[in-house]
Amino acid sequence: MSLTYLADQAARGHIGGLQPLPVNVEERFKYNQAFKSVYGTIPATIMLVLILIPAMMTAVGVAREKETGSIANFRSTPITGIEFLLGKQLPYVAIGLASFVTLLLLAIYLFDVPVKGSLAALLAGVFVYIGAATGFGLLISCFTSTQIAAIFTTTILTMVIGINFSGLLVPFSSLSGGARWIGLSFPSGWFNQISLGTFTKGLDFADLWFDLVMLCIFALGFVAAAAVILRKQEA
Amino acid sequence: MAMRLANVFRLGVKELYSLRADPILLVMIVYAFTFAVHAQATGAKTEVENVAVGIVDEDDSELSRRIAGAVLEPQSKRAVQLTPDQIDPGMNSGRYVFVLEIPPKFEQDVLSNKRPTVQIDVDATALSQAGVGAGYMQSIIEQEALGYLQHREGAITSPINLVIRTAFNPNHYSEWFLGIMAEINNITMLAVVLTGAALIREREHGTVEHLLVMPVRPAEIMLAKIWANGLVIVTVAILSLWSVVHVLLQVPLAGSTILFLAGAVLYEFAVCALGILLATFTGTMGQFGLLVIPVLVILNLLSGSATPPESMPDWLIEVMKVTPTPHFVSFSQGVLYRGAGLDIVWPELVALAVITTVFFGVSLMRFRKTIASFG
Repeated sequence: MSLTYLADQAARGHIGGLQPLPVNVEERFKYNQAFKSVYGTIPATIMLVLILIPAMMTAVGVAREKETGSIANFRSTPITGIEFLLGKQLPYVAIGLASFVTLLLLAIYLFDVPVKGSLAALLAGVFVYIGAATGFGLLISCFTSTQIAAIFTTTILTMVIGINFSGLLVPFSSLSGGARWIGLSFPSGWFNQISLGTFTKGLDFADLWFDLVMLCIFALGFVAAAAVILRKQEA
Repeated sequence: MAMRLANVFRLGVKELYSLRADPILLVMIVYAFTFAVHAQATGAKTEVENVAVGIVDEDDSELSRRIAGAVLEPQSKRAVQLTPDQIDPGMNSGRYVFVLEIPPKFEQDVLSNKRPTVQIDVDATALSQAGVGAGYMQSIIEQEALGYLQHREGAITSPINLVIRTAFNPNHYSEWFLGIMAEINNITMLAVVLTGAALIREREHGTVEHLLVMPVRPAEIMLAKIWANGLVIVTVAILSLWSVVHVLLQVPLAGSTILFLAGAVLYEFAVCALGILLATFTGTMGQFGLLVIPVLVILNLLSGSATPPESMPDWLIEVMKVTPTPHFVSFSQGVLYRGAGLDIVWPELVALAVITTVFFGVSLMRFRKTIASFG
């Protein structure tokens, strides 16, 4: 810092007899030349909202039936666990997609943050991400037995991971130790790459396919795990 | 009066029993105050030392290796040698926040005083590190180039030497900051959700009616929920502050423990009252969950625990002062980091007391109203 200051003073002719710095360092702010924070925060906020709300919406679904005992109705019918779970999940996927459309319009028209990359890649990412988020809610709902435990568990896990370990406050590449592993084993950090990538970095499917595949694995894995837990509880 | 206090006490004990009956809830409370706090304090550091850097060295000279070495160790987490065509994929996927490009014949140009240019590509979407880190990288490169020339020619010494004295956290350890802020965020989250949900459960199960046929008042029901849930959370939070933050992460706690405890209890009252207030606005657990989320996100991100309040617009700072969290954040920072006494932090405590009273008053009014609508 003192070097830059001195060099600056020398260049302006305030101090004589001092050589300018031997190198010239040029910073190039990629993706966001004006370095405006809104281009980073809006995609990350969308990431956060789309994990918190869909997960919370599905989290009480199964736990409520267990608490009130109406789950017995399901157990006395020939409906399979997967059918039961998908029935609980799909309406909330639709609601989640609808809220994404509002978020997208807000981003573009209120905050002037355009989608510079592929809109199709963003939409595909959002669809699978909401699938993963609602699937996560269902999983929580299946292994908790009360609604309090369900919303409590969902709040702690999604808020702490979504805010701290997904690239909102600290870039994902800077996470270390336990935080890195938590971040990698949760869908929000992967979606943050897609959200930032399509909104601000101007990327498309070719750059983001791996994140999409990971989100698919989360979506399927959560629902499958929920179905297994549900079947075990039945037995 | 004694009778009422006894009611509050017994209702609270009942609350503790229903907590004990839910093992998953207890596991999550412990998780939030141990593993989650530890991971937030150690893994999500904001220092530049954790930044991911790539270097494209097209010179491969003594000087360029010196620069690479200075960036590599020990400050940076993983500085990786790249080829030019790896820059874009690496930055697109977010693997590198910075890439230094050292041009061919760099060392030769420095020696012949041609002032060659080193380019730093900065991922300007990595907001918390891009700005600070770029300046930091720049000074490393300049230092190294200058040091190299001095070493070779024994010339140029800088006429001034800049010394920075950092108050209260001399080594800039972000664990010191993040650990305690994680505690506060978790206290807020747990208190609001637990207390509010406890009230909703009574309503959904219809056990509020059971309570109402007994000679207890709405205020007693509310106070019982607050002291029971508050007691659990304050106890676990203080234990965690001592064991995880102080012993494990070795964060020195400067001020008076008793004063902090008093502030924490007052804050607990405020956020538990907030939880009850939110619960009176909702009918089912699902609605409550959805209402709690945006409130908690705002309290978490805008209270000065995630970013300094100075970086927010003035009107927003004023709006946030209506909520209890910014007061407790600045109280805790004062007491725990700077060893402030009651003479300095009393305004925050007064603000917390006022907010608690207002929240409690409004939720009592609303709670009475909802009860009246049952009958």
